[in-house]
Formats: sequence, C-alpha cells, structure tokens
Amino acid sequence: MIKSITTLGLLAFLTLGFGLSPEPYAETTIQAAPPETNLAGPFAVTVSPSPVPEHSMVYVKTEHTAEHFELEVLTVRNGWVEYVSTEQLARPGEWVFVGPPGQYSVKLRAVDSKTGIVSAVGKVTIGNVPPNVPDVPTDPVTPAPVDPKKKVNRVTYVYEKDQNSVPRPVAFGLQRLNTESGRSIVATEFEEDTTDGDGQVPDQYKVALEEARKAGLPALVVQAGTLVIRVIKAPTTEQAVIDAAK
Amino acid sequence: MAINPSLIDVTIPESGYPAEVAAEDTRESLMSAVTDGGAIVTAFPDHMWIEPKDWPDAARDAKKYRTRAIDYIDRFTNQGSGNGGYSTHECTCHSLTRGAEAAWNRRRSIPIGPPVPRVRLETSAQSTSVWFSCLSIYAEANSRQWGGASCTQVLSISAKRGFLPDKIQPRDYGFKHTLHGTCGAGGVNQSRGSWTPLSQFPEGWQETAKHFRPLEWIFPESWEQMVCLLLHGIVVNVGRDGHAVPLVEWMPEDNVAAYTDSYDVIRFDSVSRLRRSVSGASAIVSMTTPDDYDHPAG
Repeated sequence: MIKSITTLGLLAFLTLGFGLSPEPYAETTIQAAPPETNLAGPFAVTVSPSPVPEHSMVYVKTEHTAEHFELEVLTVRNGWVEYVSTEQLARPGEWVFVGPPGQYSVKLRAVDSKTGIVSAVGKVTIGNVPPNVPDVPTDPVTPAPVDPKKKVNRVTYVYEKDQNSVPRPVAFGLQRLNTESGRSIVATEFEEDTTDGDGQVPDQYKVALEEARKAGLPALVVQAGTLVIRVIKAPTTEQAVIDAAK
Repeated sequence: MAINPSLIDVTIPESGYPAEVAAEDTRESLMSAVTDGGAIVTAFPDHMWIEPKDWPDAARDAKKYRTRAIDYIDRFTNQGSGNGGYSTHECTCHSLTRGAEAAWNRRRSIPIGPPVPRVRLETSAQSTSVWFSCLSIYAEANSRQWGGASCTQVLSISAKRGFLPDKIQPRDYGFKHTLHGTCGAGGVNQSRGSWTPLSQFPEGWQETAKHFRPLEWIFPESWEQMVCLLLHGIVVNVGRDGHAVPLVEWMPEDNVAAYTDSYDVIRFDSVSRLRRSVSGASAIVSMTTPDDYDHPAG
C-alpha cells in the first residue's frame, strides 16, 4: 500500500514536474515472441511509448498472470552489452526502469508450473538517439576480416591474477592455436605484473600489454608482428579464442 | 584405476628434510624469505576458491582442458642413488624446481605432460620447456652438502637470484651458464655430477640465473586452498614427514593429491597428510618471462 502510494505520488510528481503523460503505459504493445513451450498464444505486455522522454521512467505492464515473472532489460554502452536494473512496483505485473538516452531491449518472461514459460520481447527508446547508433551486437567476438598480408602470429591473453584466473576453455583455445598453427602463432597467457630477468616488461609483450590495458583486463590481443589486429575483451570460450585468430 | 595403497602417504627417510630443518618452516618464515628475496607474496585470491562440492567437476574440467599442473611438467628428477650417483639430501630443491618449471611452462600454453619416468617426451623439444638445476639452489642452501635444506632457505635463494639451467635441456637454448642438476642419479632428463660448491659455479652465472626467477608466490592457509591451487593448475610445494615434494594434481575419486616424487615415481598424499603440510606449503604463481621464448636467457 505504502509502496503504491509512493509510486503514484512519484508518478504525479513526474507528471506535474516534467509534463509526462498521465497514462505512461497505454499506447504501445510489444509483440509477444512465440511461446517457449506448447502453451496457447502469447501474452500482451505494454511499455511506455517510444521515445520515452529523457530522465523519465519506462513502465512495463502486463495483465498476464503467472507464478513468477523475470524482466530483463539490455542496452549497449561503450561497446558493452549491459543489464539495466529494474524495479517491480507494488501492483502485480508492473515494473519500471530508467536509463540514459539509448535503445533498450525488453524481455518479460512468465514462469508458471502449470503453463510453463512464455516470453514477450520488444524494444523501447529513451531520449533522442542519433540514427546511426549501432544495434545490440549478437556476436560480440565476431572478428573483422583480416588483410591477408597481415598474418596473425601472436595471440596473448593478458590478465591480472588478483582479478581472475585464465578460464580453462580460453587456456585450451590458446593450446589449440599453438598446435594447430604448426607453431606459426605464439599463443600465450601473460599476467600483467610479470617482468623479464632485468625487471622490465618483456619485449615480446609490450604491445599486447599496452593494448590490453587500454581495453581493460582481461583481454585477448591479436597481433601480426607489432600490428594489433583486434582486441577481444574478457573472452571466456575456446571458440572465441580460435575465432579471434582468424 | 584404483591407486596402489603402497604409494599413498609414503615416508622417505634421509631425503633432506629432517625434523630439525623442517622446524624452520612456518608460513611466516616462508613469506619473509620470499619478500626478502625481492619477490611478491600474494594473498590467496577469492576468485580461486572452489567449493569442495565442486572439486570433482573442476578436476574433470582441468583434465579435459589440459590445465592441470601435471600437464605442464615433462620430467621426473632423481635425487637417489644409481647411475653413478649417490643418495642425496636435495629434496626441497627437486620439489621447488618442479613448481618453477610448471609455472614457466603454463603461460606458454603448450601442454607437455604428464611426465613418464625415464622417458624423454617428444613434446618437450617442441615446446619452450626449460629444465632447472636443483643443485644450483642446494649448493648455496647447504654448503656442507649433507643434512638437507629448509623450504625457507631454498625459497629465499630462488627468489633472490633464480635457478641455473640444467646441463641437459629438451632443446638447444645456447645457455652461457649451466650446472648439472643433481649429485644423485639424475636420468635421461636430468644431468648429474659431483658436488659443486657455490664458489665453483661458472663465472658470471648470475647473469643467466636472473632470467629464471620466481616472481610471485601464494602461501595457502588451509589444505582446501592447496587443493584449489592444484585445480587451477598451480603446483603446491610441501615439506612434511621428512620429505619435500611438489603436489601436481588433485584426484577427487580417491581424495588424494598426486606428486611427482624425486625418485622417478608418482606418489600420493592423503587429506590427513595435506592437513599437516599447510605450514610449509608454497606455490609459485609466476616466473620471470623472457623477451623471446626461444632464447630465454637472452
């Protein structure tokens, strides 16, 4: 009750303060995805109409009933796919979230022991987004085509051991590069603080370390000599390592 | 395959870690030895903790992805008699060199193990594996040759100035300074020779040894942390019950840790022995890295 009053009060404040529509979730219905189980038909979910004014809350609402709902909101910031924090309101089937200008993917999953799992997905825009903002990447480790004259010969997983260990699949991917390339690729791990016998950054790792630090550790740096072909942030799979070297 | 019980919790008399020497080794003394030598002591990182209930899965994954410590060890050494050699007290140094070699090999990401007693593995020559001389540390740790050396002593020496390469290497690296590996039996992967005091090391040897120095260590505070380190592919060196050994793999089906004993054989320690080994346990997590793996000493 208190939460509802607080929410309504906040809504009134926002409406009065920022000229928002008093009916924030009436206009747009996002299309439901095909159900993940053999249930009959999708369920309707409404969100605040796009573009939602900057600094305004986005409302997500459904009349569907289920034992449990999971709301996921994703956006892209600085090249990274990020989860957006959401809040469930006191009234069942209503959520809100906020965020800076951008495009957001919304997925509401309904879980019920009797009827299974169904999902509804859609997109909403907050603020004025320039038309050339890229979509959320579906394959963040897809490598760009490589100039055949620049042959990959070094792949280095740079990390800080106080933050993480080398994931086992990544270690195995490096092993595969070493053996399957016939040793034409030097694929190694490099811990950020390691030095050579003279206490310096080893010559063979100077480029990789600099690039990895720019990208943020851990990172996989792919080189053709001293030329950096690509940097993959925080790979976790064997295939990500193999694909990065192509 | 069930482990032969005669290989579990074996006691080796007169191998170089007598009680009076072992008494020097406490966690604090080991940590001081390493930091005094200019290396870094790192606290056991939270992210390395693996719940005991997950150890079987972690061990299975480590084997699948070839990230066990034993996957980066390609040889046994032999401090015992035979092959013209005599039984020595070098055990702490034989153990330490396994830990250093595994750390050296792991970051190159070419799995070369597990080792086979008295066999030269083909993978050794195809990798950048370097074999360190156990004697290059022991000669300084105990100038009297007999009586053994504490883990504190050998950690301190290695942290301060590094290992000399063994005269036998899996491939030709053109090292300017080397030393035979042991006064014991040695073998196909370890050279042997007579006692050589520090004063008779090859002139300028420090210039080569500095390239093979441990940089960072973890000192586990519990046997469970020791197992976690093994599951992360890191050798854990322990001194216990009169002998020092390198633990190289956790075997969850049998609840034992395997070690490559310095007698050309794999043996195993039970959990009760691991519990007694914590105070003298250490793990090398990183070594100096060369500017060129094919010329590791420049």
